[in-house]
Amino acid sequence: MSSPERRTDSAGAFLWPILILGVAVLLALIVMACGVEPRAAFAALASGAAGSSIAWGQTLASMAVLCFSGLAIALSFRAGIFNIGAEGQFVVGAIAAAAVGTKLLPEALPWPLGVSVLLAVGAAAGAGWSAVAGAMKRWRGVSEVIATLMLNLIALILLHFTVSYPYLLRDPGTIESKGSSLPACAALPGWGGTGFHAGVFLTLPAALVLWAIVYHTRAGLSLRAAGLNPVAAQACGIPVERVRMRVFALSGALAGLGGALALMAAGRLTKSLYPDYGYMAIAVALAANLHPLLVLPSALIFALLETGSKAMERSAGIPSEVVYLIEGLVILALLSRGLRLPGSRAAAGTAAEAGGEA
Amino acid sequence: MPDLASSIPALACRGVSKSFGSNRALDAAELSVAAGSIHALVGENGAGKSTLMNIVSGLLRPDAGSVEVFGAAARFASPLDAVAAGVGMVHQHFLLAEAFTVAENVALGRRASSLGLRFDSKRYEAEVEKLSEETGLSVDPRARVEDLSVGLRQRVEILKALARGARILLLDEPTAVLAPPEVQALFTTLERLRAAGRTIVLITHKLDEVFALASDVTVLRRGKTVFAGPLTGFTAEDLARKMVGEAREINAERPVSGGEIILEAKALSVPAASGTGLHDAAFALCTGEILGIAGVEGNGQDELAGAIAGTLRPAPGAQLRLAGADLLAMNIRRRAEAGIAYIPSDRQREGLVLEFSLAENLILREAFARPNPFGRGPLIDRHRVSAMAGPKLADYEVRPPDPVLPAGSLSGGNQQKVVIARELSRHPKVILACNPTRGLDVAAAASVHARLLDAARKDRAAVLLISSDLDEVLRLSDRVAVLYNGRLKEAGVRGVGKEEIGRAMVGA
Repeated sequence: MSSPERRTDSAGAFLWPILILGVAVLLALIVMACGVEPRAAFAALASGAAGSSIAWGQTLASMAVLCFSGLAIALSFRAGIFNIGAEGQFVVGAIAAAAVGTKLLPEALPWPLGVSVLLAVGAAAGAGWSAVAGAMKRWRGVSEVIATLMLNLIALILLHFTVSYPYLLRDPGTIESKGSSLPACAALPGWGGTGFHAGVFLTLPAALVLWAIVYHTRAGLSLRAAGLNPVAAQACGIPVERVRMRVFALSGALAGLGGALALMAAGRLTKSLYPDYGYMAIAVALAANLHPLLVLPSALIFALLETGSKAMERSAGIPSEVVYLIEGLVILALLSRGLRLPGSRAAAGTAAEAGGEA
Repeated sequence: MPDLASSIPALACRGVSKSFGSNRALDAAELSVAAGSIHALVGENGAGKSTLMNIVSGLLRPDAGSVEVFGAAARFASPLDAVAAGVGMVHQHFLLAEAFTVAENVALGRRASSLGLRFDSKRYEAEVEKLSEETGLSVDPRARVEDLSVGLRQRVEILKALARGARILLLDEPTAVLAPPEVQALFTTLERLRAAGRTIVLITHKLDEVFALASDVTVLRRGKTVFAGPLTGFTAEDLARKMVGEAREINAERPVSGGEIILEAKALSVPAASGTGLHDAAFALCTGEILGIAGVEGNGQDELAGAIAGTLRPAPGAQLRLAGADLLAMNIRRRAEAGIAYIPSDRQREGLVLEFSLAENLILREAFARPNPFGRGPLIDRHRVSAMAGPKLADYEVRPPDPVLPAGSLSGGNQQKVVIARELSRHPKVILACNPTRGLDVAAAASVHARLLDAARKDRAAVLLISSDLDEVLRLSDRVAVLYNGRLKEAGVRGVGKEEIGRAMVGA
């Protein structure tokens, strides 16, 4: 739209900054109510997120997970699919990679090969899981929001089941419910116990490749057209349903790949492998304005807040939920500025009419 | 209003300017509408008429200049403010809740009762009945809007505005969707409202309407007021010259051709998508020929177009052949490759991706051809796209001809030119044109007509022109058929009487 004619009434334009300011003050009060000086809380947050090599290692490992799931969400939303299933696709990718890694992978395999096989397995599993939602939408008309949300729950139950039940993926050597360790050939090169792993290096090429696909290929043209105006896209011969099916699969593959990476970084399947990161990825993608390259910095910021808040909870006694509150506010502020998702035709229509017949 | 001094204009715009990005839609435009008059606001597409009306009705705010309503400065922050000041807008595309009754629609957006809890349908039905009686706009207040014809829906829109106390009525292209008898009824209504003291601003492209109704006229050209004054002593040519700035004419004269059959339909039935559906249609279309299909919208037009374009699936047993090949076995992309061009009725919904650049809109069909015309393998090379788009936009006189602009920033006429550039530059065998000049001004419509005639005459393309504009159909077509209630009836070759077809269109 070259006519960014936002018809917020003048009251609304002032309301948001005031509201956000008000909540910020409220948050500072909450922090003080916890008996901590706000400045100390923020110092704890900062040093926990980026104050040491261990902090950075954890932050970057979190960033990698958020990045892959964030790319998956950004891609889906661009195509007009409200896929909120990155969480489930991530988990299923991790489960599948754990199954292949612990049961099938020969010990003697060189690590680049073992890691690649598991990444491919994770991606394939994520793609398949996402395709279930895609098929439900395409052939039965089920809303993808409902389908992906339900599949998330199923994936989570599947995870708990496989790591708790003997003969499946549970480590028989412990009384805890956790998976067997992966063989050495599936170990990601790390950096001396900091949590940092080689998978972080995959985020930049992944974002670049997606950016090129979205903006510089025929597939990207049909994807964006299908998201912005499916009726026109269809009338011009773009097979919108098929395009969306592919996007379901591709975004599932991205989230599943992230799941395999997180699994290999952890060395074994556990019940709490980056829980809820698939939902946080929605915020990451929205904050990045659904642009593949902007997902990188967006994921980094959210990862910094995430690791920082955990550290703050430990050292300053501030509940980490305070940070989630801030994140939620940031997202609301972004949305209130008029970030328009593809598919919300009403907004497009009025803006176009205002400028269109000018 | 009778108690107001007649020297105070009902509506006055002074030096109103408005820009969208670098596009200056209004440049110190002036408008002065005398109370109790019917005032025509005319101008080409992109002249700024709609922008000015959107400012007056509170949808947009001006960058500069002022608006006065009955002498009082009006600074509308929202359409509600405009309504409160007595300005009512009847949009070209109606804003009605179809599942609601007429009375419910009239009540919509107003306080239902003192507490806002209970909906007093009796009260609103009585109100509608009273208004109907006063104005001659008779509608059953208990009828559901979805059951009403387009003409009646328009009455509901007008009633809605009047019920909210509109003293100034703005009507945007009110006849665009109406059949001839409905147009007559609207004219009578407007005349009656004026006689009752209301002020009416009529935005239109059709000059005969201006002369039939208005006493005064304001002409906008490229955002500026180029003429304002009474209509007396004016001819249609004078006015057209003021609008366009230069004389442009189209030459519809062409020989009736005798080409071979290129598109043939038999037993074509399509389940209803929006109107009545299409029942058992049959026709044959020859190369170089223009077959016009007249009819009031919703009588099977969408279904006929959809079946040929490939967006709707006909009932089993239908036959549709393009030069002997089975069109129904092809998907949309294959149909385009086989030589079908489609100019949809609603360019913003079906023709363009408004957020896309002009260049991207232009390649929506060709980008998927084999071999890839715009790069290697799956890639699209932006330089190659721009190199193609620039000359094409210039060739089809799209203004501004800048390939990187989003399609949504262009005026309606220029958006339509982009669709036509995309579809006709492929040199198609069959052109399916649905209401191709809807909402366009005289000059833009003439340029579209010239393009279609050129395609038929020079390129020997067959044109299927489906239009609710009877003049357009009669002017361009070699043969005319009428769609009424889902049935297609051949009405004869060119020269057939307008009255006769007009009657067939409304089933009389």
